[in-house]
Amino acid sequence: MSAPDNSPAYGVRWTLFLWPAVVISAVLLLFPQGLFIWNSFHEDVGAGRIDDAFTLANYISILTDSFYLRSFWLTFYLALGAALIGLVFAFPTAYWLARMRSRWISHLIVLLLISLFVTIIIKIMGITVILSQQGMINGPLLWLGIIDKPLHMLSNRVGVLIGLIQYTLPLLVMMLFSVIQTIPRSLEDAAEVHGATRLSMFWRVLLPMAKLGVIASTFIAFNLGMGAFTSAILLGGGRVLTLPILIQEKVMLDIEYGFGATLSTALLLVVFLLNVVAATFLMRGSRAATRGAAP
Amino acid sequence: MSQVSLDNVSKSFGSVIAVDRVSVEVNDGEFLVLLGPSGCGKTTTLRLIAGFVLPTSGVIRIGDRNVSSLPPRKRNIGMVFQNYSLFPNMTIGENIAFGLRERKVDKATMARRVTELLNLIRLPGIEDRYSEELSGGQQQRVALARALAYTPNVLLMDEPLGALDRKLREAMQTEIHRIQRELKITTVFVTHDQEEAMSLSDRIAVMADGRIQQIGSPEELYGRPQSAFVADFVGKTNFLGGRVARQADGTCAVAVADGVSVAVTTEGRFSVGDPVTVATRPESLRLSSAAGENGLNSVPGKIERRRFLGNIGHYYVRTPWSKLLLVETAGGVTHYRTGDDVWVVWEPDLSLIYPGEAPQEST
Repeated sequence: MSAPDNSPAYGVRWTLFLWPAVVISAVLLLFPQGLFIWNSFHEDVGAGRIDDAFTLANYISILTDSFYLRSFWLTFYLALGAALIGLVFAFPTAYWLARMRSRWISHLIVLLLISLFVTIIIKIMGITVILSQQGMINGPLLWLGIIDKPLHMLSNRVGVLIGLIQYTLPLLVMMLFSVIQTIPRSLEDAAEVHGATRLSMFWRVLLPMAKLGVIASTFIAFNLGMGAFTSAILLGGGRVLTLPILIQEKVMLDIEYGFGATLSTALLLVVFLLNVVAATFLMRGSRAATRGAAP
Repeated sequence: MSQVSLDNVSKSFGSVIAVDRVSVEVNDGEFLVLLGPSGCGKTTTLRLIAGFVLPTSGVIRIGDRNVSSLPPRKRNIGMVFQNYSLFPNMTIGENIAFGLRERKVDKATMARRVTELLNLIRLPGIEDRYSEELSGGQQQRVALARALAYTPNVLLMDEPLGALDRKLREAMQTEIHRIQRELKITTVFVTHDQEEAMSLSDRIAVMADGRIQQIGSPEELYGRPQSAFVADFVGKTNFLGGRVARQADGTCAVAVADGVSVAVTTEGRFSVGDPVTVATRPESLRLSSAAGENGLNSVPGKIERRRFLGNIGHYYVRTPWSKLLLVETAGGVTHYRTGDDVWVVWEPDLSLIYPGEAPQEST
């Protein structure tokens, strides 16, 4: 089918008006990125300057230094853990919201959106208070005698994980909510009438149909987690060195733009490859992922 | 034994009474249609039988079990929805076998049953296709097969043909009728289309305002509607409102306008001055160039519109007091034309009379 002819009788091709926006966006995005990536192929010579020679030395350093490799691994499993744990909490919440019939639903969505827009620093301050040794978790647990020493949830990976989950959870709920909304309620009725228990309906009907959306949402949460900076800094106590923190140190403290760029580009590449590989693996041979209620 | 029985069942949503003390028994193998306008409670009643809605009061029985508080999956029913609701992530075979799989039936039996059902609905060999590859009519038949797979007590159908075009609807009605007769399965069918109701049912329950207005065979409802509402809803009816002028010897004379009186043969007892409605079917009326004699009713008017429908003709006649009458002639061609002055004549025993004002025009 050939594209429809968009030029109206009075002769103005409206598509031309889109070009300035596209060009400016491309320039603003690709140009700095390109420059940055170009930097990654040059060694630092001190005082913020980089060498002229094009080299892969920076990349080789990363691949052979266990310090950076461990950081990659740490960032990866924190991000994956946060995404998966978040998913476990977000899915039932999103389902409950999507199937709610009362008029309170719009209020709840608004609350959810507000929590999304609250600055991460404020959220983390709140987490710090909650997770502290006399906070809302340790306090009651100690008082009830369930534990006799306070749990250490700050300045370690646990705190960072919790911070990451808090960060991605509202987003996950919103995304899953819109996915589940596209699955007609009548399908659930049809499943129930023909003998399915709730669990069976979830497993055989709802989840397969939501599969694409769940995977996409989890990816987004994971990708956000791979950029974990604020949570790691404020809740990690200087001990949880995710890759973004190392990048910041390289660029801001050591003022080594070359190596900083290398770390960033490497992170970008790794995340990109993980997405592509996992997506191919998860969607392969599953027709279910390509059909569903959404057009 | 009745397969489905509703005993004084009511359902309220807050202050809204959706179903009001409905009692009905559906006999084994019977095809019952719940018919009525939007909002009459027919869909809610069906959903009560299915179990998606629990009754506020009353008892619902399926087979000989009291299912009033049981969830749908425990009631052993099959259901067909208006939008088919086939599972898009499963093949046709998996869709049909859905209920069987839930009941842990072995693979061999499932496969056999799927083949049996596909033959029943006359779509053999499509087990491995997906619902999006099928047309609307085919999807609806698969939905029917799915509902019948584990031989439920009752088959429920919620306006299943609403999304289909006319020719396809009629073809599907024939299919549904054939399958229901062959399996002798008790069926409750909801529709707002009275032609569909009459062509499929053993009995029709006409509903309005959450209550059953009348229940009976299509012939009973068409020929002896017990209220003006039923007369209006089932088939077309002409209503003439007026006051009783005289009543004697099984005939009631009603003054419908200045100088115009209409007689109705009736056993009913009315007092002079009572407001009543005279109901007459369009096919009972005739066009005539002269006023009728010998006890025939005659109403003057002018032909406002003429519709030639092939085998029948519809003439819309406007009376001097601005009432519109529909006259149906067998054989579409007559010599009457739009604008002609005519008399509408008919025998008094072809009309029915109801107390109260005439219902709103529904033509």
